[in-house]
Amino acid sequence: MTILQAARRLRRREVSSVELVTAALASIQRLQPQLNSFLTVTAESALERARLADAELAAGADRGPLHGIPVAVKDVFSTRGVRTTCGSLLLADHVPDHDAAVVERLRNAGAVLVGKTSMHELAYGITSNNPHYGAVRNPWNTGHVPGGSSGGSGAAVSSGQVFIAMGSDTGGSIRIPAAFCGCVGLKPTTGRVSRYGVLPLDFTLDHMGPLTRSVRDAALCLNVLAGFDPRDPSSSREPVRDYLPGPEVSIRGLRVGVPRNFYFERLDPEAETAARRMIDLAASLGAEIVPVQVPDVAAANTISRVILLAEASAVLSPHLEDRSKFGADVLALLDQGRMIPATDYINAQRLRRLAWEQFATLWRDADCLLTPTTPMPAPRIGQTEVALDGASEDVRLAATRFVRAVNLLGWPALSIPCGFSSSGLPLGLQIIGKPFEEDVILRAGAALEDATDFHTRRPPLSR
Amino acid sequence: MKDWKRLAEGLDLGIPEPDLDKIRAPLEALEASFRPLAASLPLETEPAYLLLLAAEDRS
Repeated sequence: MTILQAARRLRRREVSSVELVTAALASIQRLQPQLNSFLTVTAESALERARLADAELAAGADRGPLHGIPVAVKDVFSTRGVRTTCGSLLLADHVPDHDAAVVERLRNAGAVLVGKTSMHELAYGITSNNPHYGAVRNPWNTGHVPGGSSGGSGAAVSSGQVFIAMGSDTGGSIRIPAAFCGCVGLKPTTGRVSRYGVLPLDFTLDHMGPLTRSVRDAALCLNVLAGFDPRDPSSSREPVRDYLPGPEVSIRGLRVGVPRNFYFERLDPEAETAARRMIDLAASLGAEIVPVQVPDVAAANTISRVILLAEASAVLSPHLEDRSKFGADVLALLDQGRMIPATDYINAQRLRRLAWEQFATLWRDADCLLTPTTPMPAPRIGQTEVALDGASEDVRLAATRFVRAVNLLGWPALSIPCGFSSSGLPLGLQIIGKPFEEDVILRAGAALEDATDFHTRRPPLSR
Repeated sequence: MKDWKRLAEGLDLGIPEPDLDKIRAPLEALEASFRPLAASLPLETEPAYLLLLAAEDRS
């Protein structure tokens, strides 16, 4: 069931919010031992909110499509009175006295928060194999990672525990778990969704967005989340649009850029085939396929990594006196960041401006770009290297190779399911758009989704 | 090639030797890819600490 379907049934009194929330809580309880997708479950307050949501709807006070819908947020979002650990021992007992802007907006829209999802420690990694709170597991194969850092959110949505789980994305942390878990993940434009109340990893690159079961669910969520927030210095005054694609969405005439270089190099053949099938599908739906030469994405990834290493270490280095509070992978990244000189950080920010100018030329010929989200399906838990095109590559670098540059550029990007590997693991297609044109990529995603059934498939354990 | 051990000592980072060994290779790789990019920067290029992507935000 999607949010639109649930919303319709709620208003027809065919189902109540209490029933939806009770089902979500039961699913979380049943699957938690297998998936470890939640760090905190707020059952009591969720049922209370659900009762209130039902009473409001009965009284004609309708807050919109998310009214009464059970949702979760990654444990990086501050929640008033509810523990917010960021997957770290540093914050094991941290109980904020305020809600993040995203949480405020979800609550005001009537959504019911059922809990906080598990994540990679400090949102600094892509496996969600957390040394302090346990590994999060992929619902399609629990021996594999769900991706990260929003791995609990990906697992929770894919397994049907909740309709929406919010994530954060600094170098792919929404899109990678969406691709690995077979759900939809939206990273909006820089400044579109407020970062207020989110524990920062990187001031330049952090973005907030939803993971959902369908593209239209992501659009409904963005309709609630988008907008200016004076508490976030990067927040934009760009007018908000209606992001929900219509029921008869069309991409006829849309100029779909398909990179000739970089994005179809060094990837699993099954990931390439799945992405190319979606490109063919876009063409069959009337889109104009435009081969494009993308600027130096590898350079953009390098610039992005210098900025991330330096900024994350700036945030966290005061806490490094007790090294036992960090997992080995995060500690290694924080140590690297402290070795980066200020001159390199400043030059990376200068290079960012150049990259933005160079990459913006792509939009002369295309309205959006289609690429694989990741070059491979989800790796096994504990796997550190992946063989691609005959060469071994660090799993973290491989998983972020196609998604990281988008954070540097600030562009919006959507990952939608586009197939399965022969081993039964999901594969993702990335749709990248112009700044603040989330409506365009959501329209493209909805058209492709309407013509396929990948988003309707559920992992066997969720049944 | 940078002497990462001496650099860490000079900055008084307190990174234990075994941990320093773990980060030497990734730092070398990053250095190798970043140095040519930084060297290519035109002098007048300003940093982009905050990218204002919308026309309304720039006004």
